Amino acid sequence: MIENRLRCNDALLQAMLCEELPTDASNDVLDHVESCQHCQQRVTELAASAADWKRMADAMSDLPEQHSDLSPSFSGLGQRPIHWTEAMARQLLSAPTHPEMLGRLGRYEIERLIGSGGMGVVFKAHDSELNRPVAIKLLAPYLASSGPARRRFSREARAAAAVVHQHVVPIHNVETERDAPFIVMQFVSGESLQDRIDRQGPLELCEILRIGMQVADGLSAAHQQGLVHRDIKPSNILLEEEVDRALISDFGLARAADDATLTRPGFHPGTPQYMSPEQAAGLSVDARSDLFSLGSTLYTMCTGRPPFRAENSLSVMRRIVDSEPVPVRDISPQIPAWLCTIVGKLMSKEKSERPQSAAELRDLLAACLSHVQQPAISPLPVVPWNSIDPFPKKIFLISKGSIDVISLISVFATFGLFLMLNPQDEQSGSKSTIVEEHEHNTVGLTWKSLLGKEPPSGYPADLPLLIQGLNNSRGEWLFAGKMLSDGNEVECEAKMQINGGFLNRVQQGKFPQWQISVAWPREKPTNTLVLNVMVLPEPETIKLMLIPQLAVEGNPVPSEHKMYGGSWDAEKSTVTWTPQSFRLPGTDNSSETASDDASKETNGAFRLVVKSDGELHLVGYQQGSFIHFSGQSVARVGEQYVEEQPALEKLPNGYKVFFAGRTEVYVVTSNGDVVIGPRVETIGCSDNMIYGKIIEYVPGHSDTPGYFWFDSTSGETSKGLELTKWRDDLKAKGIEEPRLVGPEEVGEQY
Amino acid sequence: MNKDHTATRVSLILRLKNVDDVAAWDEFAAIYGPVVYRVAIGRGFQPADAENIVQEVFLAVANSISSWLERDDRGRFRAWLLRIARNAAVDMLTQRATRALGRDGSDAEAVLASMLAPSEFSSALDLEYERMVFRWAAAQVRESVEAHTWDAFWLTSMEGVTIEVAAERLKTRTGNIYFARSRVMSRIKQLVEQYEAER
Repeated sequence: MIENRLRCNDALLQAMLCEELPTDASNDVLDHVESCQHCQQRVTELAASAADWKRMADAMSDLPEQHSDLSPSFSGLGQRPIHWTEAMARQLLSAPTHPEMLGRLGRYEIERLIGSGGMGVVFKAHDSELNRPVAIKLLAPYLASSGPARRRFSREARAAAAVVHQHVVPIHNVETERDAPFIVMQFVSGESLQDRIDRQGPLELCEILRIGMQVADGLSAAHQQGLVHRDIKPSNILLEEEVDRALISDFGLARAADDATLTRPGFHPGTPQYMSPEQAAGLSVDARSDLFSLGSTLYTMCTGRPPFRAENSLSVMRRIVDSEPVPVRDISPQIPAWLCTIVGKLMSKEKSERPQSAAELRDLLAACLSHVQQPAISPLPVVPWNSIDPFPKKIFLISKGSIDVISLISVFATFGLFLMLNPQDEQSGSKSTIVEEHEHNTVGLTWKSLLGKEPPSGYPADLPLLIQGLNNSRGEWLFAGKMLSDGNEVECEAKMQINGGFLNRVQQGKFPQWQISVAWPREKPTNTLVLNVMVLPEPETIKLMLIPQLAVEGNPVPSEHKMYGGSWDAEKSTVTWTPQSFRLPGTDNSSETASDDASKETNGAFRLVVKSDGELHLVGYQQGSFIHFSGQSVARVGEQYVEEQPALEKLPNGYKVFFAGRTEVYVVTSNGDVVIGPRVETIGCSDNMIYGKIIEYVPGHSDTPGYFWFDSTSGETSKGLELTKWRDDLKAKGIEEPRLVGPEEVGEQY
Repeated sequence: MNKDHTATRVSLILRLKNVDDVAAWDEFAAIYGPVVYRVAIGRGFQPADAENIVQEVFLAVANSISSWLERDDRGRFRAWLLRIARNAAVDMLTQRATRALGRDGSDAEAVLASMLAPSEFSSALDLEYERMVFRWAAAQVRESVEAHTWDAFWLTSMEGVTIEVAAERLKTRTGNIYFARSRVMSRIKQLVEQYEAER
């Protein structure tokens, strides 16, 4: 003891805390600390004051209901699931009658803890009356004291008990009268799908199809009773031992689809990784939400990892809403393309794009399973939706120029050319066979892959700085080449404009956003197309979107288009392209305005409004928040543009765009340059100028109402000005005064 | 967090020219959104109302950005954000509490009882903010340390498991538990201090 005292030394403890001691010295310190209470206390104090320890404990003690389940990979922003321990659980139970048992609940002898989650704990128990093993789910005590949680728990029990199906875990008994309410379920001997995946990684194709089919079957039964599970994920799917049977468990959050009162908006009871976009966005959910989650589950079975991962739940949810997962076959190349198509379809952001019922999915997976098991007898089934292969079998591009960026152009141009030349894929509503193997469908976005060689000197080597490189490449590039599509060789030529969108920001090297347009001359093969690529690097993702400009004056408007959204995976240095098909409503007639029906038509992630006067087409892109129309301008709106339909008014030199609510509107010139804020009453734009009258606050311009101008060449903007000053300014710039259209002429919208 | 925040973010980013400011905003929104929400819920607001308050606070902040950008003496973005958001939150909470009372007479008493003076809202916000900074720091640390190091901290500090049990559970000697838990706490504290120093 005396010897120990002598060795109490704060400096050593501190060094140990900072992990600065060599191993043998650390072992001495450990030996000492283990036997010296004083030093045990000192270690704690050196780390932080008692007050800080307490503040930390306080901060963690009153977390709201959490996303929690058994999967350890998830962590929230400071939201760590409470870990149940047997000791805690034991407090809830009365003393066991048998020493080997953990405790007792009524007639049930509790054997062991088998799981815990946000709502409570699950035990394996023995029903002493009926002499059978059961699983008991006990509501956590902090929830048992909360009225809404109790009600949810008992409703859960009622809902789940009503579903009797071979692929749903049966409920034997419900006890809600006690202090700690509980549910008694059949004990399923085996493991959860999560355990299986953790243990053996990706599953075999037949297993994936069989489990998927069985879960779809179980879901179908629940859905028919109006129940949405809301929490389909691998840890809620149990795999029975020695029998090929999957059971859906834990209708823990299931509720009648119309019962929207109890769960509060903004609170997401499901594990975020498997949430549907509508759940993540806090919108109402229906049975199709479960299909998305099942899609994510299938993805996980195929790849061994969940599709959306991020460091905290908010980021996970944002990814679910905003980005596409890494393609299944990048991780597991052995998975056939048709299964990827099915998974992709299930994981459509827009629920109307998904298979519309679990039964439909079950039948499809069943047919696929027979095909895999007996390919000679069972053909690959026909899918009831239009499958899309975004990539032609062969396209080759021959560059004429020796321009460094030419390959970059070709990467993008490939998509555009394909868009033009494969109209046969665009038979909306028709049935088609699942697309078989196709070319590897990712494009690596590295300098190497873009240029076919290392970057030219002066270009930043790091990919995130690619933006800068492109910025350096601003200007017009010519692209010429041949491409082969379905045997037809076509000469083509394209002009690509790298505008460095949001010019003034890019110049500062601060604002990582740029835009590329690729335009094909009108006289070339079919319709002229303009591709806009918007790249928005976020801390971990870069979004790329290719948007074919819909129509050009004088050309017939094709009724079907595809849009490619891609997401950049920094980890794997690949871009994943996801095709979305959409149809322009109203393109078959020439009515002055789009009908209501047409304007509400949605497809994929898009909302379309078309004023089919032959020129003006507006495309909304839900996640990327684009609206886009032919002619002069591109408008970009805040991301909440989802539900509202924007209204457009054509002005002599531009467009005025209205959105309900507080959505901000940006009008961008054809140069891809900025932007006007909300409530600008009159707008005009020429090649280099945007001008108008500010009624209210305009970001980057002024808080002062008045007339303003924005010179996109120099990036200069004016404040809100008196009309005379504004005229003087324009005159000084040698610009003819544009005609401003007043509210009386365009009509008041809001 | 949700679309409206994202929309605010997009419009902000277009105005903020400094990439560090954008990062500060993101971090701030992640921390302060839940703060406002929880204070609102804690004061008896309906979840939907609480969500709205959060939106409005962020919107108010966003709308004030330009005036901040134009100031010569603008100082640190985060300090400004915190001040303006706090003021906005106090305003919204006070206003809404009054409005809720007028709208729903049957709950008048409950609302009255749960209503607080602006000063009480602001101290509730500050307290919640402090907690959230700790949680934020804890989340950061958790990502950066080995799982068993974190577990040593979590089990012993948050779940009240004894050092001996934790050592047994994590299959290590107790000495390691003492140090592991303190390392975690020490880093959390450092992060919190750093965060507070930066603002």
